[in-house]
Amino acid sequence: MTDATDWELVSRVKSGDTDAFAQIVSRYQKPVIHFCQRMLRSRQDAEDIAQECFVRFYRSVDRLEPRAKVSTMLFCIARNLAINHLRDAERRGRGITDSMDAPEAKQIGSTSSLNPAREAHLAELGAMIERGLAAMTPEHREVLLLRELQGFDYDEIAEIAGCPLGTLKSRLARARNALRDFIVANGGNLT
Amino acid sequence: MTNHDEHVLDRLSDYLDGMDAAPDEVCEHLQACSACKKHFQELERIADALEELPEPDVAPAFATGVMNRIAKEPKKTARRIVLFSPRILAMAAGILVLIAVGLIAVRSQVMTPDNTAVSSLNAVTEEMILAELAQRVQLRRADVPEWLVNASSDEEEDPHTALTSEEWLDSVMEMNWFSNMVDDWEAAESSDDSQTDVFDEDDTLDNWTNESVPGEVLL
Repeated sequence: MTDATDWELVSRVKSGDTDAFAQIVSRYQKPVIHFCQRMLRSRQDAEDIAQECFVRFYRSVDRLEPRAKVSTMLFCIARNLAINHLRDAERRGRGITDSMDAPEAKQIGSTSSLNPAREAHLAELGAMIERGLAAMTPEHREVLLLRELQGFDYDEIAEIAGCPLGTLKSRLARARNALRDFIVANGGNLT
Repeated sequence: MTNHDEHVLDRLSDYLDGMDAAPDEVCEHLQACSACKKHFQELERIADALEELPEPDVAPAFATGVMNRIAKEPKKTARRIVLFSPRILAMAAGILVLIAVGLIAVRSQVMTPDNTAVSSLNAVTEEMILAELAQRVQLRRADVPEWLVNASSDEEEDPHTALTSEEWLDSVMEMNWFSNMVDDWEAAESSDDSQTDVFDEDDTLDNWTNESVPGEVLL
């Protein structure tokens, strides 16, 4: 049962099987929350947006046809909700409050078997990347996260972000260079 | 496309993802240009570090919260019909025209000296049409215009005072049930949009749906 494909689960959801929907939630809750959290810099907001994402997917499920991956659709909703949330916050003059826990932002390599010096270097780089991501525009941040964190290919990212392939490529290149420049400018070690 | 003297900084992102159109050229340049090679290695390092960012732990309460909200949504067992699609509206208009023509024909062409017999025939025919109509659109009898109810049951009515098709359609459009249904639909639409979305998720998903009309009514 747990080996059912995403679209098999969606088909079961269409016929009223809420357990199948619970499996979809279980499958994608972690990456969706992760993406939202990196986009919004707030764990609470990320969970709220992720929850709304799954509910909206459920509402639309009857009309969906298997012309794309379920993950692409979920991240498309999540991305739009996150961007709207950021713009609402900006309109209200609140901006995004960075409420990510410091330990969480520095966990890169902390569970690996690397030597302490290497772990310290990775932790420092991780913290630097966190700050660099926060300094980026949402449009740059989203394509970088969708590519590096979620592993979507270019076509999928273009579909999720709603931009042409050429725009995506240049946006991704600028995002990478911006993050690299930020780290170098702040004395980060990329060797 | 390039030679060893031209830097390839603007192609490194695509090259990193295996998306460059001529990767051999970039590879060749990287072997000869230390500046571009250093830049590429830095991008590689960042990509590796991004991949290693830890995923958050998700408490069971999250899924519970989602499922609790799902439980409040309409059940998926019912058949959903998009009521306001052009196709459905065209079908509805066609049905109404047929009903109107049928009523006019029955009222104006069945001419006998026996008014009772004509009224009875009219009543039977109209009742059948009304029953069919009510079954199709869940029309409540109480919402049927008074003139129509009377016409189908009042034996005193003059069978020669049939409405024209235009009058019929005007009356139908004035029916309370129709305007109420539109109001309900609009209210449901507006209640969904509690925040001013720049992006409409439903519109976004229209790329992957079999219908692209937002108005849905569960029948």
